[in-house]
Amino acid sequence: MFKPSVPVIDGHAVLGRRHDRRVAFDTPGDLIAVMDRNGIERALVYHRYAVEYDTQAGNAELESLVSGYPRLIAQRIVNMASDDRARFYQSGSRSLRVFPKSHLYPFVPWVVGPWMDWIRETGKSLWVSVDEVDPRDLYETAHTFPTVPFVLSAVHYGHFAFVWPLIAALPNLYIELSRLDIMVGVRMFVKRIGPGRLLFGSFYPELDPGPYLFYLHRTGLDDDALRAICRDTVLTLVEDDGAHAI
Amino acid sequence: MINGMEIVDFHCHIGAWPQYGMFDDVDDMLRAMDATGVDQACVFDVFHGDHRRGNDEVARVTRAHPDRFIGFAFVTPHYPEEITDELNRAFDSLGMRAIKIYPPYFDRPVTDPAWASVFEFANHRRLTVISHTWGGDTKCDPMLFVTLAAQYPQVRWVMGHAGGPPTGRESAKRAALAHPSIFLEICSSFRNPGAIEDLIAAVGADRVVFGSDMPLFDPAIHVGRILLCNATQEEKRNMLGGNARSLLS
Repeated sequence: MFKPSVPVIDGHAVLGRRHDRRVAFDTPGDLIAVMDRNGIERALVYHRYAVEYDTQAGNAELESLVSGYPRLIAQRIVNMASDDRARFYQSGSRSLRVFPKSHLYPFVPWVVGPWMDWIRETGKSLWVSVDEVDPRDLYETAHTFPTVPFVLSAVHYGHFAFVWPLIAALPNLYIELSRLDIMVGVRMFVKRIGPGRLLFGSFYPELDPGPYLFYLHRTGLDDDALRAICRDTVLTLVEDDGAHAI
Repeated sequence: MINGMEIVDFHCHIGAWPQYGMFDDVDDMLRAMDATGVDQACVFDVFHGDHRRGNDEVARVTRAHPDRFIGFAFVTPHYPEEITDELNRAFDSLGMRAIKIYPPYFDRPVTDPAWASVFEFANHRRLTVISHTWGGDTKCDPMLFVTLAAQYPQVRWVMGHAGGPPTGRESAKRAALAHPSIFLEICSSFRNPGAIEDLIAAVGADRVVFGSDMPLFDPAIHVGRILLCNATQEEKRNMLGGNARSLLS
């Protein structure tokens, strides 16, 4: 049975039930089992409820769910149009995730500027799924805050036309790979921006992590590049969240 | 070969679609195949409005690499008066082995009479037809093929993408259960956990076929889906290549 040859941190996993359909796997136990089966040491997770409804309730539920699972790194979701920043001051977490389209606000500096100032000052990274943000807004905001690392997740072939120039235009943009299925796509992206801005994510439970890890090990990348994609890039973005223990 | 199993990729393209990061570099395709042990890839043109030109392009590749690529013919339903002649040319002169159709991309439901001469040709020659399928799409939902399977009993029908997303897979499973000549090909960006096991449980591994959509997708991902799924070695062997060989015989 295939197992990864390098340590792996999953940069994109989701916990919790959805309201609109049944999810086959939604508990920390389910996630830990699939991590064990696929040789994944730790995973960055957010809670579905914070996407679709209440960020505060979803984040609290997430904290409760992962409390007994040190291999799971909680990633809080923030609604930059309505959340109170003070509620995030104590979290100490190195990364935050946003869902601007689901939360119905434009991801532009006149809306998110105060949050971005705080994120820059506190050295956090900001994660956003590609379907959740207009690329023009992402460019404007990421360009305005060049020291903040932005992670664009769930990029797939349908986004190639704008992601390809975007990664060249924004040196602070990182790409999470869970849906990047393009033939020799990882090699193309490594050639363009290096492995240090690419990171493995599973998008579990929507996608199965094993086949993508199998693919990464068939790309012909050397061990340093593979290790960067599978672990080191995530580590640099969330290190103080407990991932340093690996 | 991987783990002693032959791999035949039943769903690949010749042609570029750069806005999706799809480039038709045959050397890259061969490298991707070699990296994962894919022995042969079945290739067909991408959506060309002129089927002669599309089939010629496929034949150029299969003639250059006859041990690695197997050509499938394609035709456009917008020129029905040309279909039979072009299929005769594709099979008798260009060496094509099966037929690929793209009902939604040509804006013609698979039930449209414009396709009839394609299916009559396939039925007469006992060929395999692979179609793009997508659950809920009125032009290519897998259930639309059940009636065709009864109408053209000598054709073996392969549901490309097995209907796509999870809801589409349900339709593909129902179609395969409704007619024994319907097979399910797996390539899709919807790589849900347990998807392959679900298809096997519903229709049996001898009706599930490996395909990758290369060069849009990397074949390693879909080889990995089969290698890592919960199935026996014999089932994996059939899905990776054995079933494709049967469909091409």
